[in-house]
Amino acid sequence: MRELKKIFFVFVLLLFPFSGLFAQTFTASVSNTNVGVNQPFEVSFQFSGSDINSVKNFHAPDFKNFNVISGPNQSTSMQIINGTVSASITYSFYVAAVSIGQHTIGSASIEYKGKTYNTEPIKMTIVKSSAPPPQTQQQGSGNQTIDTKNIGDNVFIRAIADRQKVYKGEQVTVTYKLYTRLDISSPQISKLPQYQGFWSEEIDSPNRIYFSTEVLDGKQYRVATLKKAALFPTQTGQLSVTPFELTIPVMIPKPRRRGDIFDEFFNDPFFNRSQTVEYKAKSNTLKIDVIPLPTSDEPPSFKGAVGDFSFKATIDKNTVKVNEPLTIKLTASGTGNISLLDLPDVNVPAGFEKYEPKTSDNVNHGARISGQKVVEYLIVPRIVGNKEISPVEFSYFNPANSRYTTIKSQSFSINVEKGESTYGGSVAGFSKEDVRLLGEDIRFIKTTNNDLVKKGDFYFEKFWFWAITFFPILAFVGLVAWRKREDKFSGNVQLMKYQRAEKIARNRLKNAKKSLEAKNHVSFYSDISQALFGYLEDKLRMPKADFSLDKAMENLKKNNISEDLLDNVKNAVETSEFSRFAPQSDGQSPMNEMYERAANIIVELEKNLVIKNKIGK
Amino acid sequence: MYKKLIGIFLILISIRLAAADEAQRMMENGNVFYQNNQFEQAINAYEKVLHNGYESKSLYYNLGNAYFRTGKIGYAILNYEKALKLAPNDEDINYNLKIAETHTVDKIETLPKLFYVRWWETLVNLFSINGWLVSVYFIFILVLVAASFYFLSHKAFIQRWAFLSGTVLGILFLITLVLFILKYQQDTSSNYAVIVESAVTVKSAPDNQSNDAFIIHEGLKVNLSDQVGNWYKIRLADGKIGWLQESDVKII
Repeated sequence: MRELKKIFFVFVLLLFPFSGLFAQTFTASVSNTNVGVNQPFEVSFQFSGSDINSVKNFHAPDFKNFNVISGPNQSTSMQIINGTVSASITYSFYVAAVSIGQHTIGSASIEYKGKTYNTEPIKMTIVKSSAPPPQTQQQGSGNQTIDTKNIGDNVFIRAIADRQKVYKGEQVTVTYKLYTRLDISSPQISKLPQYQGFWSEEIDSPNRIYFSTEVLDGKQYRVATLKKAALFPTQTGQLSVTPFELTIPVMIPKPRRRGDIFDEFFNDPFFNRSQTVEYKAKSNTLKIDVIPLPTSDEPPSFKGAVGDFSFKATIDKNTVKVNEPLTIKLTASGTGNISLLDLPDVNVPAGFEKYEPKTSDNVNHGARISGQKVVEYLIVPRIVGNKEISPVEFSYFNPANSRYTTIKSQSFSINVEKGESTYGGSVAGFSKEDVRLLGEDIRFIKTTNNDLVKKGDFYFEKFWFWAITFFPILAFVGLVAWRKREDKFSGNVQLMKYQRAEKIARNRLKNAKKSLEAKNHVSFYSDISQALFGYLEDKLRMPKADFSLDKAMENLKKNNISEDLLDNVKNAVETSEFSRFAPQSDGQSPMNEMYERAANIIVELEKNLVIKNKIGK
Repeated sequence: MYKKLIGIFLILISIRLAAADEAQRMMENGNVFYQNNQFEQAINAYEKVLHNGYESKSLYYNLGNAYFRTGKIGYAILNYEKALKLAPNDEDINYNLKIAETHTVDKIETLPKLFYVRWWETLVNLFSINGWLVSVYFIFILVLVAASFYFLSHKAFIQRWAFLSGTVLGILFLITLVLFILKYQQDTSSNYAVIVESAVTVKSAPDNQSNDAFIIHEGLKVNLSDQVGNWYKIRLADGKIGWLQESDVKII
């Protein structure tokens, strides 16, 4: 057996060299290309390939001129030969032609791994029914004389609008009725109608479907109301309602062979052998002409309400205290599109605060949509006095008499009395936080401030700002520079003198030495004196005019110079002054001694004064 | 020559003063209207002052009050927010803003800010832009004074103190300068706007055909984070993001 299969396999390989072996095929076939009108036949589309799980997007052909009785019915089969999987998927339909002639079943398409496969169209020749439908031969037993061929004639849905021409906003009632002459079981909704351009309200209908009988075109049907909807057009022009589609399982009796004894025997409703066919019923598309409302005499307060309404406005109290909330209630009731009803706004006078209104509506889903809409405004007076709330106007268009009607409420006068600023009560529909703050009012305006400035007036964009910024900088820089100059001219001269005192003194001592060598007695002592005096003047920062030996001594004392040194200095100065004017006497030796002494004094003083100065700093 | 210049200067100053005077008068008119409960007229008067290029915290505050009284919560909040920008710590403005906010429809939970963020914001908003500038200037002058003491004095004691205080003042100067710059940036490039239309459908993209993201109402403060054409990208306090048209909001 296995051997045989192998041989077969090789044979197949030889037959379909390479390319054809694993090719995917998608073919269409019919049971018979030559069929009678209304005679059901099978059309199947088979796809075979190795991996049917990748098959998707099957598109059935457009069965024009044919009536689909059932389908698509899907079946798959799979085979594994030597590890090679071959599988096929079949979509089959039961169809019947509706008229005689040459008709074509179009091509079906399918997607497999990204590629689309199409079937060849099939030409069908439809002839006059060779074998007339068996039912006609039957002993017409009431309305049970139906076959699969004309389910569509016996089961259908009708969409009925109560009027074809309405005003915008006027109610149109659409009723979907199921007509049947066959046995059906509970239908499934496959597509709900779409009310594009309408506001729809479902009209209450019983949960169970009740059938009644109705005669249409001379035939008796069992009729059930499936659905009722009230539609309110929101646009003008021709609007359409898409069909309502149902899948209805229809029980149809099996065709009987003539002369069959069993059939004869069981030809009784009780034994009626039947088959169930899923029939797709589709209602007609409704077209409704929507005409715009007349604009010529439209009242200013009209906000689109169409129907027949009554309107009133009430207020809960006429005397209130400041900050105590009161409620204005607007009520509109009547027939019309309550849900979309737009109630007028309440204009409150200044000094009142109006809060977001609370809206509630109550819609009655009867044959004509009706109900009532209530809008409650919470207002809080903030200012004492007699105030009047102007009347509220509500307008609607009544399509029954094609006229606009305006209802005006009375005006409300409210006496606002002075009261405590706090309010503790509660008002329905408003949050605690809101209520807590109801009693609080904004604070009064600021009247005393005179603080207006040019907008975007930034100081730093002003000339004066930069002027007052740079002036201190310039002043500062100038001051510092001036100070430096001053130091140079005054303070620094002294400082320089101070720092150079020793040097000058040494120079003078040098001169003195020269005089000593030249044996110039007078100039020697004058040089020594000058050296000592000059040094003291410079070091002690004493002007020449003020200088005296006593003052210099005092000054030195302040600088903590020791008594010994002081005596030494005093002695030396006095000696040199004295010797300068004394007659030339004792030759070289005292002059040498004097020179040494003066040099020593300067060295000592320099040491002490400098150290003191350093510590002082 | 000098006399001529001085004369021109005086004329210029008097023109300016006269203009400011007129604005002040107009504002006082507005106040009178407000006191007589003629809020619409008060709004007109205040708006005229604004139109002439003047502003002040009182003007924005009073205008906010007038809008509040006429029920335009969005504009009331807008003007309170503007007033707050000029005087962030004004108690009256903060109070009235809070009251006005309770009249808005959207109650969006704001995430509480961390304490240091709050402190920082309080610090930045301690003064207005000019207020900060004046502080910067004041400290700048003090720095100069300290520097002068340092450079002009020869006394070591004074120099030491001048140096120390000069350093401290210098640091303070830098801090106030930074705060001034931050305040300036915060105020001049406003990222916030207030919804002024009673209800605004926020879109998920800057396109009328795009999906509705959510609906917000008058008086809500939103953060503007981007602009495309005449669409603003907004971010709500609770993190929601969407786009709305320029005309629906007014920038604070």
